[in-house]
Amino acid sequence: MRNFGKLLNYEMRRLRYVLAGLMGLTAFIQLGTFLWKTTGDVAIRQEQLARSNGAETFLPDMTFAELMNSLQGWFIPPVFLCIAVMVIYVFLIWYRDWFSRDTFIYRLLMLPAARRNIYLSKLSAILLSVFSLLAFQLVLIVVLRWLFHVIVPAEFREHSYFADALLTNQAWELLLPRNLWDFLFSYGLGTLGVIVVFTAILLERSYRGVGIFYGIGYVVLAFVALMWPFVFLGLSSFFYPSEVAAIGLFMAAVVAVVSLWLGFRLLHRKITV
Amino acid sequence: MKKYMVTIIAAVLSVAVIGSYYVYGAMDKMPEYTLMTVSGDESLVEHLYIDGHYQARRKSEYFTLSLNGTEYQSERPWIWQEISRSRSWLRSMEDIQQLYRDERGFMRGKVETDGFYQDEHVIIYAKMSLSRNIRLHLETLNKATRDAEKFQLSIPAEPSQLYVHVADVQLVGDEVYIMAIYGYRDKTNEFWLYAVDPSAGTILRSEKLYVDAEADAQFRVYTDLLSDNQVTVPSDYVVFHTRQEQVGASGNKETPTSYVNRLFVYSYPSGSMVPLPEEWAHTEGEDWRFQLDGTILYRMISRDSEIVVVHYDLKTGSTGSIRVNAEDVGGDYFHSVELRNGMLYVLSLSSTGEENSVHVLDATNGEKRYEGEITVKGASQEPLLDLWLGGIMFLYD
Repeated sequence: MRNFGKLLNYEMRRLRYVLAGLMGLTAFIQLGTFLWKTTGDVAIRQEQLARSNGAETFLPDMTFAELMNSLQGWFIPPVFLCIAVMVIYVFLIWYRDWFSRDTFIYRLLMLPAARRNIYLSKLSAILLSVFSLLAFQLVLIVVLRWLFHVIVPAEFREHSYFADALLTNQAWELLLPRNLWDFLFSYGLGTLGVIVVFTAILLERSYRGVGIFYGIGYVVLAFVALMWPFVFLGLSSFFYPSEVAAIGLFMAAVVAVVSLWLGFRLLHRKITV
Repeated sequence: MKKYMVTIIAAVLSVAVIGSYYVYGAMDKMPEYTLMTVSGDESLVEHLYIDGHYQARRKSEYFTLSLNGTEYQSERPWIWQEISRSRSWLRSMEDIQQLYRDERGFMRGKVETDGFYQDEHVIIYAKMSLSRNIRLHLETLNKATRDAEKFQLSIPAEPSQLYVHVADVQLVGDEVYIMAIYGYRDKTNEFWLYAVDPSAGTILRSEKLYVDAEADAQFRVYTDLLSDNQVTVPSDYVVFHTRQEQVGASGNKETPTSYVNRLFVYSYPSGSMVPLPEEWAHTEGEDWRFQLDGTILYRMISRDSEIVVVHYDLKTGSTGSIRVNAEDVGGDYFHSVELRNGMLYVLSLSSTGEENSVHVLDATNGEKRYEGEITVKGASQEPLLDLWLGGIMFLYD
């Protein structure tokens, strides 16, 4: 456990600049466009109010949810950039150890601890990074909402729900489902995807040239295993829909266990220093 | 400790913020509307649901409300939504749902609901499939002995045959009667009746059924069977509904110039096909809905503030009608009307949108059996104006 903690911390430290950069860029773009848009909209209303001698503005009151909707075009690209970087890092977290100047993987493999800790620490580092980015985005939305209340005078402002603000942005709607079960389901599936890719990478590292085909073959096999209950059994076949869903979940568990077992085994037996 | 700061911050931030988001989300409840009984027999609306959209939020939220309150679609996990959606048409079939609960093994893989028959002794399922020949699959389950039997029969198919479908199954004496619809590429659909001996696994007789509305150069005829809400119950009768369209004398033959709908009652025991009285025929502009409920046939027309229901007993030939006005039940207009189990279910709305009520009336004599109001549950002050109500539906799952 202690070794796992140390390795996880080591991976997180290696990732800290990437994470800080992504968070900084997201904050810069989202805060910048938010301030530009909000102050601009408030200025237009104040000008209209001044022209009508304080009678009224011709524009509707501002809501935070509406503002988030209108800023989608600016807010989504940094979110997608974070996703893209994390996807690339799933590969990089292994390959940088092999292809860095001092082939760091040899030092990792020589550690007097179970090698599965290396696998688990890398997996945990990816998940922790994803959840940190997600948490940072949520904090940023709360800050933006607070700023909205500070910048927009009460006479131009209308109440809107926090959940509505999240639902207006298609990327947030996808990444932060309202239902906790949906969150667990989609991130569980994402974690499974990372585990399968990790195993594919280890297959490639174990068998090198031909390992590329083993790796690709394994990913395809895992995908087929996950999809067959839905594609071949269907949702209106011999099995009841709840049974098809249960078989699907069971297959996901099988793919996860087999991938972890194979990954640990490759790391333990096949990859040599 | 300082060495682990990055990991600790990341872990604490993730758990605290994402956890708070879902705790906050769980507390941010949508308003709960309910059907509140004003008077009458609540068991009549036990399975009644009204769907609609709640529109006070930026994105409208689909919901169903009932005596038990409101269920918003977004509050159900995605996987459950998919499971209920996958066989959604079965959810409103009371007897089929009961069979799924009681006979889970026998019902496995059986989704063609017109092919079921059951009485106190036996359950029968018939299904047809088309390849080079027509394959008739028949399964029976003796409820007392739990003996299940199944067999397949082959029936010759015509080359232009497009589809086959079992439209009704009945047990008359010891013979299973199977009403089949055959669709063709080059002619109108046909109805065939097969009498099958289930113990021998053989077809005893077959005959093509004719209704008195045949197609020719000037007329196209579409025929179907009127469906009963309870598809599995024993019945001596089926009702054919024909739509005879007069096609254009020249030029466009696709668009009918006029049409007439007629009804014919077929009796299984006697084998007779009898047309219903002339007043049951109707033409363009008369938007009647027909509903078979056991041996009672209903025809209903519903306008904004008036509903007329005429009923006809297939056994005795007795007939009668009721007329219901919106003001009689205390609303401005009828928003949704359904006929089920001899009852007329009405969702009546006020033009201000602030008073929405459900009424259940006896479909044969108009007697009021239930009245309920759609109200906000609990102490919430959410206005009813934020609701966009869809229609009445019945769910039995």
